[in-house]
Amino acid sequence: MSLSVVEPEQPSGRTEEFSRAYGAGDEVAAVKIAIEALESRSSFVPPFESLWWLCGELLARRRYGLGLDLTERVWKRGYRGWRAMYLRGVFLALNRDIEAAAETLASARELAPADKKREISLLEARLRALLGQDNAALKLFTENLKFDRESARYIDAALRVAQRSEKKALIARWLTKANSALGPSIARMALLAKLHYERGEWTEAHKAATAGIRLAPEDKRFGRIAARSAYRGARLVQAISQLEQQVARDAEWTEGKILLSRGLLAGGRESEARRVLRSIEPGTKYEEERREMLTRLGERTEDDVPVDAQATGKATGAETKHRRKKTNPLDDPEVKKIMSDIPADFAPCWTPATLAERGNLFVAIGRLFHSVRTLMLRETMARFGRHELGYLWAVIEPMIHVMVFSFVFSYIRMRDSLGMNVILFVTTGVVPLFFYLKTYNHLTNALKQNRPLLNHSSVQPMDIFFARSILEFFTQMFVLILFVSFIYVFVEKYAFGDALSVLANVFGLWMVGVGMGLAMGSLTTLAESLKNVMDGFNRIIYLTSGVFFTLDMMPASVAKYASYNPLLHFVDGVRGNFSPLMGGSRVDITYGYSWAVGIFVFGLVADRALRRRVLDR
Amino acid sequence: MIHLIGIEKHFDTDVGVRQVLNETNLSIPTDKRVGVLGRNGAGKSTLLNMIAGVDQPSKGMIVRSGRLSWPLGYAGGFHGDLTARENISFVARLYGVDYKKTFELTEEFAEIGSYVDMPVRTYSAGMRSRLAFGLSLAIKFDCYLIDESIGAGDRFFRAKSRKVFLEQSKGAGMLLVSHSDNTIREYCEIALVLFEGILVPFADIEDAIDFYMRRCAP
Repeated sequence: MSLSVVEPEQPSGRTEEFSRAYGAGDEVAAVKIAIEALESRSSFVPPFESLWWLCGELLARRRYGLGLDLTERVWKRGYRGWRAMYLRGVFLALNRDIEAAAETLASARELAPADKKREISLLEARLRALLGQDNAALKLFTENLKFDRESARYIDAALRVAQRSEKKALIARWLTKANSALGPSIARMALLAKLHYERGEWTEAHKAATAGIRLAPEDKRFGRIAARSAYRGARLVQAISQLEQQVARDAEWTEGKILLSRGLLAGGRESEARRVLRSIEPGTKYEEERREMLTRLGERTEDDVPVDAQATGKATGAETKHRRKKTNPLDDPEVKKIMSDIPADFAPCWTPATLAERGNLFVAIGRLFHSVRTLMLRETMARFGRHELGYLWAVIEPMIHVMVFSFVFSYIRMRDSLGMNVILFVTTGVVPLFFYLKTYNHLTNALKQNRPLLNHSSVQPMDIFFARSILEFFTQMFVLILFVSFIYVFVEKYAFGDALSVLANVFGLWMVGVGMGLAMGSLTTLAESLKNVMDGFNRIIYLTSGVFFTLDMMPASVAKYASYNPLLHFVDGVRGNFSPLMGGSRVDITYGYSWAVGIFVFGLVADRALRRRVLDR
Repeated sequence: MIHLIGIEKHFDTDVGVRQVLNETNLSIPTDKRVGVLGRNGAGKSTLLNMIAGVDQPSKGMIVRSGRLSWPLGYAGGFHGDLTARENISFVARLYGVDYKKTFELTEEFAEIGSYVDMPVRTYSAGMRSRLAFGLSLAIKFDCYLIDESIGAGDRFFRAKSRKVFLEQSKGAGMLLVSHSDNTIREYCEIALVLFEGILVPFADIEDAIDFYMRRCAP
């Protein structure tokens, strides 16, 4: 142990004496030297650090008087470090000067570093508890109590104070924590069970008491509380068996016998009830109840049995489980009271004007426009950012389709029987159909994928649909114009019909896509497998919607059935504008549109009806 | 004000109907610091989602007035294929605020450096939540919706975000949803307790906490 001196240039004999005495374990001598030095105000002061060590020694050897002497001197010398005060407090307490000790510790606590603060506070709390200053003690305990093995003694002290001041909620909380940290103890379990029982928490009381029985099978308290709370909790079968056990063990427990007979009566086991009632000696404080039940047994009425017990008792054989009926929280008296007098801050305060403002058409359209525009920009940027090809993919994908099928057509099929250029034929089939396919694809998952966007209060589900479908329409429009212009310039100069007719047809295809997308996005929440069915269905659509065979190419017997497909009419309608040989008399845009409008409306309705389901998933 | 007009919420699950909120008629002020206390699974987040607009009530409607934030620090709203810059510009445009200022504030706060021009899907979870938190703080709202924890990331970042948030939200209202009585006590003035599907209003925080401790304890 290094014992440096405060003023090292004046080493004195005393220092050596002190360190020798201290080192030799002769604390009496060491204390004497230290006290002398402190009093004489000489240049020698044993460094405080070594004084604290010395105090530790004194504590360990139970020399409390000496310790107090020493710390008193330090105190008088005017030194007010937290450790000095702490040690003084400890010694004061050990010398039974509790009040002074508590005050000293209170001042020590103010100065101590955070890690020591808890310990000092807990000690102070214990002292205050001894002094009967329950509120102060409780406050300190609540703030500082930690539930671990080391603080076990504080926990018990804290529990005693809390019990004395009847803070039941607090005790229950502490007990649960203490039990989980330290493992259950008999005293704690008994307290917990009693507490829950007094507060009418039957299930908890029963649980605690059962745990107590496991710890101390002979302890009557646990058995009684367990049996009682089972009875009060209206778990009839369990209650009867528990009461029977306890009464057998605990013959003078009259209350238990009364409860048991009540339970037996409720369960319709009258002969047993009679036997139990007879075993109760007359003249106890339960006499009245005993008589009443006996007379009832004579008359065989069941009016007075507690209501839930009666209900459960009648419904069962002995083995059925009983559950406490779940109560409606609105019937709870406390909740009822609060809800009948809602604080001004939360009182409903909407007026017709509030609601009218929400329905303002211009505001709504303004919001919709802004929101859709913003979402479209986001979607566009996202497509550019998705991979290296970015938005080019929107052009490349139909291009691949066109190239592959043109190749196939040129070599496998008779080129001349088409009546128009192969590439133009395929392009005017594939690209219009993409109006349907792509719109459908982008809309089915739109809401699920963009659900987080609804966190922004200005975004509504419909905006997401609008943004995606409009963007898709313009993308495909761009692709269509690009392709047919390219063909016109580089491949073949064709005679173009009516732009408006093209627009009308692709709009119809797009409308079917929107309707199907909305419908499928909603309906898949009812049956997941619909999605697979729809994927297969779309393959068939691809083959039968005029991409490869126009209505005119088909033999009449096939065309009769194929013409039911509205998409075929639209695709053929588009193609009719690129070659005078296409788009025969059988093509009927009105038929197509009746389907398109129908599907569109169906999609809107399905979305409306199932949107909450989609969002709930 | 957030008016909860006759709203009710339940989920139809495969194992039966789960009632989350019984019919409720309340107006929640947006200019105060409001806490919502409830145990795990009591339906706090569903309530917040309904107020934000992600979930819809099974019955009734919610009318909001004033500028509500999205749940503070919520990173799910980012598009993974967009860079931080693009995501910020989307949000700024949506809320009609100045993009440049928003971007600067967010960038300064989120400390993501040169990653601002990388798609958000390449970010670590920490970066993403820092970005989200920074963006929530860069825009002024009348009322902030907050789920559970204030701030994300390491403790230094948490301390910083706490400070910035308290500064930013000075004078603004907030709706803080939490299961911790201490959090509610620290941040809120008035509180609601979500107790068995009922929103029980309290004008005093301590009353609310007392009710929560007594009645919601298992």
